[in-house]
Amino acid sequence: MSSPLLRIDGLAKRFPEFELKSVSFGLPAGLLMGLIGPNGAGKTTLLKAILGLVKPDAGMITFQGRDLAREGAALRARIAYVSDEPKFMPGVRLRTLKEVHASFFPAWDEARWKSLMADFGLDPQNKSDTLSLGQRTRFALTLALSRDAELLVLDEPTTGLDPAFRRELLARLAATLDDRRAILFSTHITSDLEVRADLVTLLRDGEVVFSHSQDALRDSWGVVKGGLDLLETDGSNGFQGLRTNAHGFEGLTDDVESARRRYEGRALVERASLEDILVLLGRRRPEGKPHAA
Amino acid sequence: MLLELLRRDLRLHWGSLVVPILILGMGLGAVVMADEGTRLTGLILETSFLIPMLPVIIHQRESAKGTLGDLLVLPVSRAAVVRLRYAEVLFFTGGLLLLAHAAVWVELSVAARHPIPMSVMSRDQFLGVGVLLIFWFAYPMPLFLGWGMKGLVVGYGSLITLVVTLAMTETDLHRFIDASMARPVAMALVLAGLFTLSYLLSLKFFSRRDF
Repeated sequence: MSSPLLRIDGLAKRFPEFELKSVSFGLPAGLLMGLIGPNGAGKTTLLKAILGLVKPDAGMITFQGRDLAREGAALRARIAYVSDEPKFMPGVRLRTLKEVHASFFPAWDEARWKSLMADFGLDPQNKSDTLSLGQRTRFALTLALSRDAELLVLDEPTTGLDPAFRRELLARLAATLDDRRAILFSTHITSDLEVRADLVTLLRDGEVVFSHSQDALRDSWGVVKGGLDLLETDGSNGFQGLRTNAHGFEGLTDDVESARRRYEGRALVERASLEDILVLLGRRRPEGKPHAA
Repeated sequence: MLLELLRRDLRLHWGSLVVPILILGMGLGAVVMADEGTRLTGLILETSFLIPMLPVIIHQRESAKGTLGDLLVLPVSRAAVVRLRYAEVLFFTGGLLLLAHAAVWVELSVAARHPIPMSVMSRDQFLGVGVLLIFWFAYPMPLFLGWGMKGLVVGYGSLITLVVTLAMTETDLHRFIDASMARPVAMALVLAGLFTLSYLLSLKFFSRRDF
């Protein structure tokens, strides 16, 4: 099997309030990976580490087999990034911002940029400080998609975009994928990923909980819904996440077949959606005690 | 790459450089119109105190507007960004000195005063510009690039404290300066060394920052 386009091995970064703990996963070419996790899970820190904006304390990030820490400046010519809140120098026309940006990328595709600007409803004569968040994100995407980048790193790119445009954007992103390109896409909107993502990586408390294909997730993760009498005395039942209320509980399991056997006839066991996983994992306390609903 | 970065700065920040450049321009006019005895002192002071502000204004504006991250995700190294700031101070200093010379040459030509000197500044005056650039730019820059505005405040604050302390205590500063100026080559080498040391410290501090 060929090596992944992007590989992260044992990445660690400690801040006073937060820690990224030995994060490892790979992203092969041709695939779109969704990066999900609750607020503060470490998604943005991870993406910034890939871009060299955050200096890791340990671990290695390789792109096309080359160390990004050593060759980041050269390799960033092939990596495009859109931050969760794109900012541009105020008072500058979009055309000027594009010209400045394009001057750093020999493979710049001017025709594609013009086409994207028209499709995204942006006027190159507009000034950057007249744009809304959604328009800034659209403009950042025109820059990212016109560089012939081989890796697109997108931090919450659909935030601030209307649903119709979100759908169109996801289709466009998927269309850019080929055997030398990949997309790493962080989002809170799990429905976006369920439609388009090939792989999903979940971060929680700075750790990778899983990094699998959507098919593998559907085959293994499930939600158990039952009465409170089924919960063990410590209230955890080995669930990855648990939500209780006066009538019963919802427990998240990473072994849906075992759960089916265990709770057969006593509880409802369903396959988990990404949203189920994200919501219920966020409900788990470190000591395994359930939250009261 | 350095030229691309310099062009980027000039295109994105020209609006915020207009006021300081106007001040420099007005100062330049005053310098040229002043009599020969005092105009070069004005030029030296203007060059040494205002020019270092230009790269600081550019860098601080990037930081304040949240675009420093966008600069750093371009295919440029952090070392290139540090080199840019040091190149900018040399570029603006050289540019202003050249403009000042051109203005004085024109003035002397119009007044038909010959011969027109190649340099309107003496060797000591060039060294003086260098000394002030070291204090006003090279000393605080590593702190600024490493810790942002806080670093700059500490840098300028400690510098002003040092100058006031030296002025208030009985030091032989003037004799030291005169003795140093008497050895221009050694002095130029020391200034170049300090400038390089400042650059290396800036590189170290800026390279380890998270954005």
